[in-house]
Amino acid sequence: MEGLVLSGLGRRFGNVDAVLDVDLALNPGEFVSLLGPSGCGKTTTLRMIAGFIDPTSGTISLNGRILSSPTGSIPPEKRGMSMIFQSYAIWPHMTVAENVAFGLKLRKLHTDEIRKRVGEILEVVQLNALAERYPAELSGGQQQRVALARAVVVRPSVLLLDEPLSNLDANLREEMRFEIRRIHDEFKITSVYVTHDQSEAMVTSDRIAVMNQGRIEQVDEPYKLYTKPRTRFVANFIGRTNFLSGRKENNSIAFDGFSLPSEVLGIAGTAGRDVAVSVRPQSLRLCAKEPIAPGQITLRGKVVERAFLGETWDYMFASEESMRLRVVAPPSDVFEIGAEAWVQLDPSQMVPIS
Amino acid sequence: MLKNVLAAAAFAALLPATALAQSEDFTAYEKPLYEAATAEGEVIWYTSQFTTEMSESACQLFMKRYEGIKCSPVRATGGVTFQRVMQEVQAGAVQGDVFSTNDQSDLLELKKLNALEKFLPQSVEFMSPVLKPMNDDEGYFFVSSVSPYGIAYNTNLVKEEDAPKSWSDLTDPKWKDQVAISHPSFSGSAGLWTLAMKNLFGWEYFEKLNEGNPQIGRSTADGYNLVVSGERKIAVTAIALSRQGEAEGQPVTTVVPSEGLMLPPSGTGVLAGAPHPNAAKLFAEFMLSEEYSVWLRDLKRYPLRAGVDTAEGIEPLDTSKVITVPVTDAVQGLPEVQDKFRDIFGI
Amino acid sequence: MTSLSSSPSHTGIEAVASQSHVSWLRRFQPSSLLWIVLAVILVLLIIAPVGALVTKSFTDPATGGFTIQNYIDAYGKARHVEALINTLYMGAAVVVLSVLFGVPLAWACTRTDMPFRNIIRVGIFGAFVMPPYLGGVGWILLAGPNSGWINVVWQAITGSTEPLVNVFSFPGLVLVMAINTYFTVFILVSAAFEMINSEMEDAANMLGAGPFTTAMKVTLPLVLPSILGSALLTFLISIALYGVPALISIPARFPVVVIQLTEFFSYPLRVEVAAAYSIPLLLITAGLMALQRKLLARRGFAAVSGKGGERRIVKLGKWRWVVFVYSMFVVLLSVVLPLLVLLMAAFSRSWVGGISLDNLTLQNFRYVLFEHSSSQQALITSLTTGAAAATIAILLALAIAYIVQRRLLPMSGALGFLAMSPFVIPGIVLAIGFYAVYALPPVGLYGTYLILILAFTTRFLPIAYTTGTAGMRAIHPEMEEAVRILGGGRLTAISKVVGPLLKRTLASGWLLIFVPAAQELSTAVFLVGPNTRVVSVVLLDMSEEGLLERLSALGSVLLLIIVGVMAIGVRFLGRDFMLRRT
Repeated sequence: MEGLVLSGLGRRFGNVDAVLDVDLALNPGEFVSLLGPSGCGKTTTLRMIAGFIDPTSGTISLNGRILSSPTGSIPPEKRGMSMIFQSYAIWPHMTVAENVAFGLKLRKLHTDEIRKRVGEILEVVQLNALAERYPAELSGGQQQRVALARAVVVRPSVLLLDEPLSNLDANLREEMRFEIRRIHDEFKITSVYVTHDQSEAMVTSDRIAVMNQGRIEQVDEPYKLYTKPRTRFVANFIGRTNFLSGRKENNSIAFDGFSLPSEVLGIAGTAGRDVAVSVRPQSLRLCAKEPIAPGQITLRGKVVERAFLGETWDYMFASEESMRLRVVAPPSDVFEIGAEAWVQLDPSQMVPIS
Repeated sequence: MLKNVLAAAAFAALLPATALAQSEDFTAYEKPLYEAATAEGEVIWYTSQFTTEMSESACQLFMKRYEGIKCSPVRATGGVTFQRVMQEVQAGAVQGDVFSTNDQSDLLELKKLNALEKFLPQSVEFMSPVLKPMNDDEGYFFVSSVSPYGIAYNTNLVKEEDAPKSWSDLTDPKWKDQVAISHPSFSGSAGLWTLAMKNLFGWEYFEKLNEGNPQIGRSTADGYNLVVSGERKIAVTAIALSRQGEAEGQPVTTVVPSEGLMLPPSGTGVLAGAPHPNAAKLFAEFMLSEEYSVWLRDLKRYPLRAGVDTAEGIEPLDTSKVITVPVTDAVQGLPEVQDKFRDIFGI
Repeated sequence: MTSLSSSPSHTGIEAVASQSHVSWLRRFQPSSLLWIVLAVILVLLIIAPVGALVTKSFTDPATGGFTIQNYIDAYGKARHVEALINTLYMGAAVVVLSVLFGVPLAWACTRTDMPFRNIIRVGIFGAFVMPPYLGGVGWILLAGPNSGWINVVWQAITGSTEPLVNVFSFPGLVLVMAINTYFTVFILVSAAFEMINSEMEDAANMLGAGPFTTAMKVTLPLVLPSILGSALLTFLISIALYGVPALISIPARFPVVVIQLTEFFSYPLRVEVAAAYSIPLLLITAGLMALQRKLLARRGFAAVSGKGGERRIVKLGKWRWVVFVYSMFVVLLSVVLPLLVLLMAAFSRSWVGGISLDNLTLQNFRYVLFEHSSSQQALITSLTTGAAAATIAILLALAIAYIVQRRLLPMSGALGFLAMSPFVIPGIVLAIGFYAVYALPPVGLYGTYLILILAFTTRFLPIAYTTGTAGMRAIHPEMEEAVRILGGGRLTAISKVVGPLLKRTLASGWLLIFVPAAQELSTAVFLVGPNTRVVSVVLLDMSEEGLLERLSALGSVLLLIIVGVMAIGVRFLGRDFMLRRT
């Protein structure tokens, strides 16, 4: 099987499963992020792919060849991968050019070839003017580019990125996200990107694997992950959301103050079961008068909290049935606290979650 | 100080012509020994019988006569020197060639352990008749120096009429905090002296001495230096040191105690398994040479050869009153004496 | 760019055959062998001597069978027990004095506006360079009861016939030890003071605590762990020191363990009894270490080891001069005065001859440099064995620190523990252990340079290891992982990245070991042979005879060389490299 395949991958430290039963297949040239809170096992997974940690169960294979298994693993230096580290790990005693050339020298390339490739990649990351500088003389962003160049120049089979932007300030971080994606588009290297920052993952990735407590909860394209989260954790971790809890009845789902036909939400199963639904605050509309909207659900209540964030209003709405919903509204929609209001829900944007 | 002797010896050592001239004087016995020793190149001499300076000087003298053989003296107190030799014997890695000590019981002990070569220099026959009987009767070691123990005092601090006249005077309360002695566990001569005093006066002598709070050094030479520096007024020490010092103008003079000088004959033996056996034998031979005895005399010490007189003003040994401790008594008595000494002086 | 945009190559992977699992052999790296070698070296250097010591202590020298007779011989005498008790008593007194010297000076130099802080620092630095036995000789010249400088001056001024001070006494012994050991307290406590964030003190001030209350309730407790740690270290150093007791405790009639041990080593040689006699010392030090760990484990170190934050200097006002005078007093006692009289003696015909042209001479230097047959060789031996031991120790320690920090072996923690363990083995006890294993047949290393180098290496391994660990910590593991993921093995990572980055640590650690190793006496005293005598042993032999002028001259030469080496080190490493000793 082509590409990088993790199957049934697990890693146990003492009595704790840091990673458990992870299945993930990357197509050649695909960019996948491992996204999750700290301690979710994403870095352990990445380090298993790199070969720094051996799995205690499952396997990692690349293009059909097993790299890691509980019975033995190929050491990192024999995997033909490269990695960008959280600390950059730029060697302070070598110049930029020496750092970048290091991997090529290990591959015993001809000196001229090395010089040519180093020159090319430094141009790509816009560092050719600084080739003879030492890392201490570079800014954080420049160091990051050196790390990028060093990792890419060897044309790795897989590029691993371990929270590469977490040490940069906010503006630079935003710039580098696009830089990383640009370079990926140029070289099409199969990449695994570990981050806890959802927007970083969304900008850079073809697909995102959301991890929680050692498991992958969902793997999808960024848009689908946001609009169709499958679990409560994913819905909550990717953006903000409202959870509505209801109960399955014969042909409908009953919520506080309204009910919907089962097939609208695509929920089957037996009656009497508890059901949870995620509704993004952006998909709700807050109205001063009762809206007339066929096919939509309208709840009456009042505004109980509000915060103005500049680009949007953030309102907390409490329905008469005391269901609390967070609503995001444009700056022009001004409501006072305590004002009577109506909320309009679009059933097509309600996603059942497990 | 000895610098003239040393300088002369060092200077001479630099002149091969001198050595060549002397090589013609070599006896038929000496010559092959010298050649074999030259091949070995070095002699290591563990010694406590002289000070460092005299040991160096003796080696210079040896090297002057026997060019091409390096003489390396390793000088420490008898206790320390013996400890090192014992360590080597136990380790089966003897590193020294010749062993000289003021405490012949150490030599007896080594003999018992088969750690000594059965060897006496040929020149034994020329030894002074007083000293000859003190050689080992089985031929394992010989007397290589005589360094009697007496009393030295600082002439700036003590008037002649006040000076102690006898061993027993040392316990006089007027010398409180002013006497220096040496530790029998470190110094071999001090061990014998302690034994001799015990034999003369019993242990009360030391109990009274202790009331006077003497300073206890490790080496006999320490006591002498304490007197010269004025740190202490009186020391029990090797009179050779004080006589020599006096001759060089140090503020020190010697008292021959009325009970007699305590005579610890220093003994020398060649170590079994010595790395340089021929050089060792040659060095032992050298110690009984006339040259060596003359050198001793010039340093106000007792010569070993019958034909060499003592220096002017020094009474020859055969007419001096001396106290001796038979070596067999020393072997038996010393461990107890050291222990008892520690008990009394608390160190 | 076309060449770069081609599909990723799999060169690294093609070498690996397609198989369901990777064999152990394939995972084996040449570096794994190195770790095994290191473990073996540590066992040989530490476990073997200590093991031999314990075994010997229970061995009947005649039959080779088991016996407890050695313990009865060792402790059956009241005097022998007294020496042990004296030693503990002395150790405790040295600790108290070292803390009284070290802590105020550490505070004054790091946290106050005391004038001339740099001069004081240089002076304290001198205490590190000056070996304890030279300090002891200096104090004999200063405070010999009848002719010591202080007493001569005192008697001349007051007309008194009684000495003012007497170095040959318990206080004298403790002082001479403390002027050497307080350096350790100073260094460790300074480091702790440097780490205290002023905000912690500010917080107390804001809540209404005055400067004194703040000092007692906040500052002092924060540095207490390092005071305790350095106190323990001081205790261990002082009870194991050989030179100072040899010079002072014999005339002072204050028997201590190390002197008693030499008795067992003299006639009749009783290595087994010496071993038995030293076991309690070993147990006491190990017990104290365990106690200290337990005490410190209960308090988080987080407060002190956290980020430095802002550190403000305390303005002392008029008191700054009082603090200065005290600091100067300590420096005078510990370095300036002993060094001064030592140098005077070195240039004098007779050290009691006073200051006059007649008494001035270079003869002592000529003697030790050109005439005395073993001095030159001893200087060379001291410097070369010191250098060799420093080199081996620092390389060994870095390798171990590397394994421990990178958790390369399941039992790597044990390696680290082993590397630190010589810390609790008094030098003279270590020497006995080394003697028992390596001097005697079948190994038969007695009198070789090798046994000295190995013993020094072992003795100073803990210093090397703490320096090495600090250096390794500063190197992020990702620095190496970056090498490995790019295709370099662990050895490539070490030679191309870790090694170059550790240069500074290597150099400062080397110096920190070289200085004491070139002066080491306690370990050397039972291990030297006639051709491998080190300067310290020659000086000790000279001291027996009271040849203080020549001893001073040889000691000065040694000091001069070491100061020279240090000066080069300071020039390249900066003054603060000493602080990394923590």
